[in-house]
Amino acid sequence: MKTQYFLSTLLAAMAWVACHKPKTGLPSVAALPDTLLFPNAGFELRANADTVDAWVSGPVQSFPFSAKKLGGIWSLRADVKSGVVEGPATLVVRSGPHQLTKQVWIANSAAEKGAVAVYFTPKTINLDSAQDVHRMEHQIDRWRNLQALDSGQHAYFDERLIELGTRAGTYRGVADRPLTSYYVHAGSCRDIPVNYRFNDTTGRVIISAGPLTDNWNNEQAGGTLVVFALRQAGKVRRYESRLLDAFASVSVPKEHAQGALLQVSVHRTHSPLIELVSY
Amino acid sequence: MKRLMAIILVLLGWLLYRLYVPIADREGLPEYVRLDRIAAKHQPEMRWNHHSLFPPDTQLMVEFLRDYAALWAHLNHLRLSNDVWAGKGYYTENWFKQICLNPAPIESGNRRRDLSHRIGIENWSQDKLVCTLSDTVRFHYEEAGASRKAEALVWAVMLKQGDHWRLDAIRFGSEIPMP
Repeated sequence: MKTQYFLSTLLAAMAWVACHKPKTGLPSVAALPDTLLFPNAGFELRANADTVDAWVSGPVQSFPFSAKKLGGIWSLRADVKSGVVEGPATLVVRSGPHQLTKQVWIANSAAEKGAVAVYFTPKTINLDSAQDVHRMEHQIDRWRNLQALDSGQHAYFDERLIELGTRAGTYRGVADRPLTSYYVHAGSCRDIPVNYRFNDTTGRVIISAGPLTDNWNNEQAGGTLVVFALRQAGKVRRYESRLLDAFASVSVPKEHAQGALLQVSVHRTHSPLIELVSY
Repeated sequence: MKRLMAIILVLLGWLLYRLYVPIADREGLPEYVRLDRIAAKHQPEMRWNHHSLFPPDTQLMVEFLRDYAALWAHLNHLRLSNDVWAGKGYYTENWFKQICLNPAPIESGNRRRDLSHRIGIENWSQDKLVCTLSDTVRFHYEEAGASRKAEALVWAVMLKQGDHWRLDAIRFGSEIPMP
């Protein structure tokens, strides 16, 4: 009787274990890591499964893991030799038809200071006749992740306008220094005189700007970019020209100019808005 | 006779089109000849404003937004497949080199779509060649037979090089689950 009772209890216990054994052989999601650090990101799983596949989809790329079983423990490792773009990711672990997914964070294990990228506009001050330079700055690491700047108005970006000093005056030759010489280049232009002429024969309008000079009547350098913006019926048409002998001009089809509002710009100097009308 | 000529012309046009399509898909062709099937139908909702010293030109922003939407179509495709070549026209050289370090193709099955963008232009260079931005992106994921939505703040540096605005660097913030 005791033997029968023992056997039935044993069978019941075996049946209970069989029913409650994980069908997939995979553990719960809680066993998966929250963060993966690259390169050589990896983690271990205690799983009864015969095969395990895993991969993580980061914000930009996906990385497969190679899996090895030692004893009852699966060792999964991403075969990635470099760093990655950091951010939110989805980790997937699959065994046969069953799989686990978890939202994780991927990052680079070796935190290193990135290189500062600085952009200046205009790039060549002498050619572009400007007395202020726009400077933009941000910092990027080797894996193209933006990094926070040490200082700046925004966390990742900084920009400022650098005003260039001027020195203006009348200089006379000095008797004991006969080789004294001065190099003069024009600063930002003071204002932008604009002319336009409708040509009914050609069906075009010639718009010209100039003479462009700075506060001391120095002519703007040849090659300076002049932008002609024409706003008509909600559309803006943009024409560009380069300065030659302090003048720049563009030729525009009459239908694009009739009744349009014109504004001419050189760097930060703008002409008043002018309505183009043919008489 | 005229009807026969018209039929021949139509057939010739159709034949030329059929010949052109596979050619246009090939690598190495100039951007303006190639068909970009990945970006063609991708039109997320996009809104923008600016906090920059210099406001972007609205005319140029049309071009910028078109390229930015195409870039995200290719980033989604890259995440799904590790296909680094498809979006090459929207990556700077440095960005392309970085993603080529992990070139193993994969069928992750993890699909992502960017549903909407709220873009803040942080810097806009006067020569219209450099743009930095912050962007609140709403994503839709289809992963492992389930779908979810999330919102994340992204910062990016875009450079105008050649035919397109190209991605040079990026930073992803944490995601917030959305209903």
